[in-house]
Amino acid sequence: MKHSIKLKINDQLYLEEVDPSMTLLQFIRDKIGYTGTKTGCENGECGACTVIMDGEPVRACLILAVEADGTEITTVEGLSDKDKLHPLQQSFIETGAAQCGFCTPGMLMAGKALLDKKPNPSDKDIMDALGGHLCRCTGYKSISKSVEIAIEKMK
Amino acid sequence: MIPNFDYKKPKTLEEAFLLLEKEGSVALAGGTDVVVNLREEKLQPKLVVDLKALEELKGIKETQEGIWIGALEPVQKIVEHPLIQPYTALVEGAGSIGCLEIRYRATIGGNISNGSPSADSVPGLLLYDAKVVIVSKDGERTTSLESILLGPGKVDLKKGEILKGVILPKAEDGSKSKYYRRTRVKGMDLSGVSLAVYAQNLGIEGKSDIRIALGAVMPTVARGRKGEEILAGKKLTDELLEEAINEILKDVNPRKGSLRAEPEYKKKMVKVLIKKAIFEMNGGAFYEA
Repeated sequence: MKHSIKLKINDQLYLEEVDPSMTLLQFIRDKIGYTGTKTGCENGECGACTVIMDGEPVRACLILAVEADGTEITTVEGLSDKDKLHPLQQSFIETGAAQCGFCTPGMLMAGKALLDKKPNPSDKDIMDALGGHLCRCTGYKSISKSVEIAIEKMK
Repeated sequence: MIPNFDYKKPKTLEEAFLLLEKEGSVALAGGTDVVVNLREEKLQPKLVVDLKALEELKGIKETQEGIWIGALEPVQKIVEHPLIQPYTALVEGAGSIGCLEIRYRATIGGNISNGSPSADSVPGLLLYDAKVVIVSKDGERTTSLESILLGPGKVDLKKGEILKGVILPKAEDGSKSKYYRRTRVKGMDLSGVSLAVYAQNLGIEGKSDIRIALGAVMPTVARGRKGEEILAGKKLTDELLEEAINEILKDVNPRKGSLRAEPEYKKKMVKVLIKKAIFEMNGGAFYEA
């Protein structure tokens, strides 16, 4: 049986019918069409599908769409202010923190969730926030550096 | 793609009991294991019962008996909550689960109910003699957490029963604890061996209370009670600690063929980590009471 769910994604309200077996990741990509959220391991291990749900970073592949009923979600498409990139996006570009770019949306959302909660995070906080995200290109240094630069930009 | 199933989110416990009694029903809390198992078809339920609307299963608060932790509380909330900070081994164990995104969803009740021998929140809970409250349509029962851990993936929760929450007895003044684990990689991984040690009046004659819990080396997370008895109330010496550890190791028979660590390594680490924990809780000194 399908379930109706009502949720906000990037400040827009959606009312949709979903099968209980549909994941939030499938919902965001296939139903709504925000393909910035990436399908990586689909096992909760890589971080590519990270979105922000009610202020917390979560793995969209480990959540059923029905469970997200009534929540507010931000995906990477909701990060910029129209044409003005978020400081994190700017610093990722400046630092070369995106190479193939597949992990980038997840990294950005993890960074955003961190800075929303803690505008002045410690190095350990940054490592904790990014620690569950795999990147096969950069070696991670440029990514954590980008978060540090974004913190300065936002001061 | 996940095969389809029905989904219900009961608002009352009574509703939940009825749904969970049904053939082919599975309870869902944080979903960090359930959704993986649905995808791998290790779970093929007809009905998924989402527990997250049950208010009785929520909250972290001080009660007469100690600290109440609702089964639905996310692991990260336990890591951050001021009331839980005195329980260092629990905070450290819970904080080592998965990664931040996992910890925001995974629940303490889920970590217990999975019955994993390597569950990272359980050694810390066992050190403090945590109790669990289990509800069903027949009422409520309170029992020790230790007593419901039956084997790998097996906990004493019957059909229609729900783990409501955990009671952590008050932490004694001056008590300390530590949690360590060894994994193949530094980041997200399951424990190959884990160890938690509690100490109060460490090594003071007549008062010393040392408790030891072990993970990923036996069919369940378990206390090393025979070793604890050897140490109880005694002045700590190299020989005494060695004797206690050897007694504990008699019960440690890790299975061969584990993906994460060989039995010999696990046994060695049990010894190393118990000593390390006691060393650190003793301010970096060996056995000076």
